[in-house]
Amino acid sequence: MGSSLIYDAVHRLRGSPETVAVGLGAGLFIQGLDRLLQESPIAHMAARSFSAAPPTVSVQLISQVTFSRPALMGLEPTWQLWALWLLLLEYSVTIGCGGWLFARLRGVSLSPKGLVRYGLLTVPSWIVLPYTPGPVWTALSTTITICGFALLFVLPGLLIEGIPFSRAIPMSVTVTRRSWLSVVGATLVVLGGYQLAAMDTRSGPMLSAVVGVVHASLVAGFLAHTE
Amino acid sequence: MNWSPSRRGMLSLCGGVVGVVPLWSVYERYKPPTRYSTPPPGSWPVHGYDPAGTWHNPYATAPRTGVRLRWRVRDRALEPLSPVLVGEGTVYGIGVDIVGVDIVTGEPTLTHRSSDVSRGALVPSAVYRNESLILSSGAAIRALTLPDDPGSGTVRWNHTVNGTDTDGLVPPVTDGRDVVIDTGDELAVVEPTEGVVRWRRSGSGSRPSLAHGTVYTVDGEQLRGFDVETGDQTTAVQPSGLLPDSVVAIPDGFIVRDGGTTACLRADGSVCWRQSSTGHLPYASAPAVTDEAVYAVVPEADGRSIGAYSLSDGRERWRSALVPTGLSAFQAPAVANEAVYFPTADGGVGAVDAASGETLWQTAAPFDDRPISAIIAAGEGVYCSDGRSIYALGVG
Repeated sequence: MGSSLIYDAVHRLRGSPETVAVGLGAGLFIQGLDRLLQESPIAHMAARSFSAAPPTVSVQLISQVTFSRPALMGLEPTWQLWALWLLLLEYSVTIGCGGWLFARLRGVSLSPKGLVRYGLLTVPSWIVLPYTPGPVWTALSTTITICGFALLFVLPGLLIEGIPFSRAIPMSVTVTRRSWLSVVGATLVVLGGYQLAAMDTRSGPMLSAVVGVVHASLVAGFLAHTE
Repeated sequence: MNWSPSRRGMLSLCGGVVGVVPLWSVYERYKPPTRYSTPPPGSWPVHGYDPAGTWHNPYATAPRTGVRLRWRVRDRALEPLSPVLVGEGTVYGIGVDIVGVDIVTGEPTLTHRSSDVSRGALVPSAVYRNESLILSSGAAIRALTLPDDPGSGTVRWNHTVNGTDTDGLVPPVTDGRDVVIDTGDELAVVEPTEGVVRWRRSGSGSRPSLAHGTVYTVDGEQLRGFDVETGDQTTAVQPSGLLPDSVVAIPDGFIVRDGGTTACLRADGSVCWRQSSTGHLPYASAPAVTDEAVYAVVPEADGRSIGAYSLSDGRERWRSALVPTGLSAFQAPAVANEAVYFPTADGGVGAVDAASGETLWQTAAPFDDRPISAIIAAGEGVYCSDGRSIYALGVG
């Protein structure tokens, strides 16, 4: 089913080119915000690293630049507002674009409740690990990430349909266990794509947008297969 | 495909535009701080007072008559000796600890613990509420955002650098926009808000003099100048018969010191005048320079004095009867309110008239019998450190 999932995802996108256009538009927007952030007078840091593509099962538009936390302390109120607004805009566009992609490709209408639930999926990306990972930890965390990502692979599609977390998580796990190998295959494609995008210093947001569109299409296709 | 934008889609698009326009308009209003040759009144933000390092504060109304100790703040980790800095109503002592105290009351406003010895410079910012302290420790440069309320501040950025000056003795220098740091191995110009290193060259280990858009350094042989924006070398002169160990840029040349010798150089490196003395100083002490005169510690066969020389022709105007300490590396007497302030050989603080050299006042030694740093004059007071305490002296 693995190759048919990919084939189905591409076929689905050919039937909905607007999803590609919106995804690329959002990627371009994030790239523009990156540029604004880079040129801003507030100390920023490059976010291109393994942790730049955090293991969230939502669609990710990976920013290449971010403010360091100490750089936001002691700012003039105008600049504090400006920095927070910029970060908020980045998250809003990422969540809005992802939610819209899942809804469009699943053929359901996007409800505010579904979007909020979907937005909560991005929360893990805000959590920063408090220590530097060593090789053992990296191997362990990568395994856990892949397994966790695979088990929750279809979760965003279910949340967008309006299913609450309490039902969507067990459903996602059940659905995934039925086709474990193909989901792991799709997971590797998506996670690998995001990692590549995170390492692309020039057009990371655009590349991650392409991966995001394929990601949404894979989830939609997988759910369609299991229905 | 038939995709017509819905009302919701159009609203989202408009929302996006409305969201981005304020971002852009705020960003467009940003103007970096302007470069200054003289710091704002009431401050002494950099070692040597100004970017050139003249040790002359024209705004200060420091005491010309008897003084008393206004406050004393103890912190044992302010060694090795370094002059304090003053900015926005706060006096900063910088050593292993970085301590800020209210200039009027002596109440603590900043306590930042560190593991290595630092030297600092205060810089304004267009985007932060308070000034920042740029700290150079020889192994690293970092920016400390100063807190609104008493606290430890926030390290905004931190860079490691190559440096042989592991004690961080060479102080950073700023003109309000850029910071020049010499770690011995490396001379670097850093944009202080974001910590972007504009350029790096090999360092000389002397206090740079920043004037006319140029960073001047001396390495014991040559006097070199680099464009502050690009790092391109613009000056390289070998003063005849001099091995300068400190430099102060003046409008049409330089004042340099070579041990006990003080000399004025033209822009091309030729000597306008030179004043030598018989004695020897163990390390490089800097001169203080005003529009009319140069003041420096003069080693003598039987001690030391402060000597004053006419800036135009080098004629000796006077030598003080009050005996100064030798002053540590890169330190100089401070000039303000037509007086010259310096630590005295008996462990106190003294002031002499800048025009005649006559003693105006001198304190007993209230400083725990410890040597004290060069004096700085800001506002209505004078300030110094003995490595374990910061002292504020004033009138009345």
